[in-house]
Amino acid sequence: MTPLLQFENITLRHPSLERPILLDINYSVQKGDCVVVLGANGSGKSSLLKLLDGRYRTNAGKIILKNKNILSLSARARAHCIHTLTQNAQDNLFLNLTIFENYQLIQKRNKADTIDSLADYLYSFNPNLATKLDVLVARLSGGEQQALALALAVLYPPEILLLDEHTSALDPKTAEHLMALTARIIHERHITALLTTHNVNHALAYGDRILALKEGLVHDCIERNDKQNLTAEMLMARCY
Amino acid sequence: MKRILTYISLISLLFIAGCDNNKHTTRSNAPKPIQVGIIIPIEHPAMDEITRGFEETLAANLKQPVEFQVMRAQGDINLQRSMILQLQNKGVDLYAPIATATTEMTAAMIQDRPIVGLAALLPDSTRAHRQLALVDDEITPTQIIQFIHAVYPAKTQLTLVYSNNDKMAPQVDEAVAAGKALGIQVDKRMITALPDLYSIAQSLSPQTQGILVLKDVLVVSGIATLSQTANQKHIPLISADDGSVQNGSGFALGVKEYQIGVEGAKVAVQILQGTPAATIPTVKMTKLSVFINTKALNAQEQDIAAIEKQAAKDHYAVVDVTNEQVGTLK
Amino acid sequence: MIALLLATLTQSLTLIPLALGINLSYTLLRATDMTIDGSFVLGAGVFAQLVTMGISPYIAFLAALACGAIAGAFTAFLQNGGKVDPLLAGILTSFILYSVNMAIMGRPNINLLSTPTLFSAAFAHSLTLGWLSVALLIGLLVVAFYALLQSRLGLCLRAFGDNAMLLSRQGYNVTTLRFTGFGLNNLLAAASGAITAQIIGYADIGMGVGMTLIGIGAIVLGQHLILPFVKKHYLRAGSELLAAFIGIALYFFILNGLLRFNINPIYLKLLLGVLLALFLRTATQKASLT
Repeated sequence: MTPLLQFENITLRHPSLERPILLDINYSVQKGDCVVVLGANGSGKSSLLKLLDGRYRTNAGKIILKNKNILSLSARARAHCIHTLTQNAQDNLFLNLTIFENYQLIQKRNKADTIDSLADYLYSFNPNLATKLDVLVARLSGGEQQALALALAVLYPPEILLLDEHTSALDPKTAEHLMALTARIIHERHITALLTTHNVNHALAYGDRILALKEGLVHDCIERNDKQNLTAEMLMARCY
Repeated sequence: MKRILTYISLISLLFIAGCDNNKHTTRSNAPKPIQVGIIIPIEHPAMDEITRGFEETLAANLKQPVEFQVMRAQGDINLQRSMILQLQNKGVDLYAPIATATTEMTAAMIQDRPIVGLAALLPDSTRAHRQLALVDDEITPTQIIQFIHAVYPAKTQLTLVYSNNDKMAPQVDEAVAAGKALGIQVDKRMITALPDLYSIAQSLSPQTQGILVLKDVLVVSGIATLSQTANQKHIPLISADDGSVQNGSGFALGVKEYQIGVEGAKVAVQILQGTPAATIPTVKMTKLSVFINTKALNAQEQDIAAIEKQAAKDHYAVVDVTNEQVGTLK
Repeated sequence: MIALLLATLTQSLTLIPLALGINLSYTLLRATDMTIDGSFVLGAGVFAQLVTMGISPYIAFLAALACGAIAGAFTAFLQNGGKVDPLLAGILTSFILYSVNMAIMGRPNINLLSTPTLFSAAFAHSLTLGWLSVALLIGLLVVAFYALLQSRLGLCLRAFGDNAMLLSRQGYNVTTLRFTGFGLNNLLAAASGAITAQIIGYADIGMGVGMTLIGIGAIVLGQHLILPFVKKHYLRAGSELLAAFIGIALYFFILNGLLRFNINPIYLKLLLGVLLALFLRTATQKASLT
């Protein structure tokens, strides 16, 4: 089976840095995979995701999405295929618009029954959201904001969902809750996801596969079958 | 929020107090003076001179007492609109706006009271259904050329320096035509920016017998440059306003701003005595003045007596502005 | 007092489209668009020049609107292609517009006193009818603007101002939105200019000076007074409109009031400036608290 997403010899440099941010990365992702990307700060994991959503451009190598070079996609087409969530609410949502307005911007058609169905839909992500459709997103708590961002991200499931440490700005309990919710949604809806985190427990619990980066190089790849035998400590030792 | 409400209520209180003040002044027992509103669009000594001429002449020529409301709009059209509305609210009997745009605004806003536009030129069609009289302060280039010819009958070559302002083009054409009629060849030299003036001053035709400048803001602001050339070549530098004479031009045929006010006041008297404003033809300035700068004329080696003699012959007042304060540049 | 209110009303009326335009750029797009100083004159100039040439005032008015939109599009183009900061792009365009306006008008001042305009027939009939016809046109513009705010385009413009980056990542064409936003905002300013020229009887090359500042001051003032009372966000578009009206009316109320209080006009601008500064200051304090 051809992979959904394929990184081929990806190299990314920044003019001000001597060492490449990413060097000769080769990796492929199958449809439905939830890949956790681990690595220390500066290992290049966020950069890898930014290459996908168009915020960065590769210096060498290519990224193939569904048999197409990702650079050949229009911004619009790419936006339909790839959706990113980060830890910063302003990257995910329009803070000075209401929940309903954020929804309207994502939504493709003007449906008459939107308000009720939206409330129902959001209730399953976070019950608080359902009653706050007319509230500015900036007024929501961090947990509510991220839950909303997730809900809107999977409203029209993208080919690939990028989760760039999307829980790391939250308190541990809320983060745990959001992570579990994210994993459940991803698996229920068979969404292909690339997820970066520093939490090895999350990586073990929710990732199908693990990609460890170190100083811009692929340091380790852990496949589905190897994962069962690993403990958090062992993973820590292997990846950092 | 509290603070804002405080501001608002404070200001409103001030207003109410202010409105009350106005009522008290109008309720006095003395015979009601005629109220005249003067609207000055922007701060300028020339505007003050016009105002002074208007006020003094009107007060002297009117039997009834007259009260002037002088409004200074500081170059802000919103403020100017407010001021005209306020004059209207005060029930002013006659409006005297200065300059064309101010007159236009007053005429557009006020239909039921006479208006005397000072230093304003509007086509007669605009006066058709309005109580609008005008005092036009522009003198024609022909008048200037004719005066030059009378002072210097032997001169056949003049250089006219002007800027690329749309307002200047018809005046320049008129000057050339007027010169041709009198056997004077007028060389046209156009500048687009102030620095051009220097190179033009350096490259004047050697045959030229005089430099002429019209009422041209850009050229007048660089008059000192031309003055130097005139001094070197011992030819007269002639202009059309008193400000440029103070700054180094030899002499000018022009209008005293004070006189514009005087003419306006005469029209106002006629209107207040019952003549419909629209029937009074636009007043052209006939009482011209010759402004001279003796220091500059001496430096240019010109015969002051000849100029004064011709001025007397044409009944023009001679005004020596040599030692007047520089700064009334128009 | 009634005279004061009437003066306030008639003066505010002509500047309402301008206030709406500034509402669009300042509140929705979150950019201080200085183009308005120039496009206000552009609207007045194009209208005045065309009607003096004998063209129907209706066509002249539409042409004035179109020219305003083009000026705005040029500002957007500078921001887009030239990567110029929005504030600078606006200043640059209004700088260029001075020459353009001069070229279009052919002279610094065009007199409209004896030229048929949109309102001349109505004003010739009676003053009330004249002002009613002005109010009708303004009302039309307001309704159209309100419809825009409530539309999906309005939402996109608001989202553009909030987070253009995210909007672009969601697959929206940010460039088109920028052109639309700045075009509409300057179209409204040009409408205000063309209407003002008809009321004051002329178009003048210098009539736009300081219009942006007055507009922004008025909008901030109005929003500061109105928005704290509006809890429901679906009422936001309406309350923003109301804020624009109240702000501009308050500005002229204060201006006319200060005049009536016989304040030396030399200090008038100082006083108005200090007042606006106070409002702006409290506005930012409020903003930093939330």
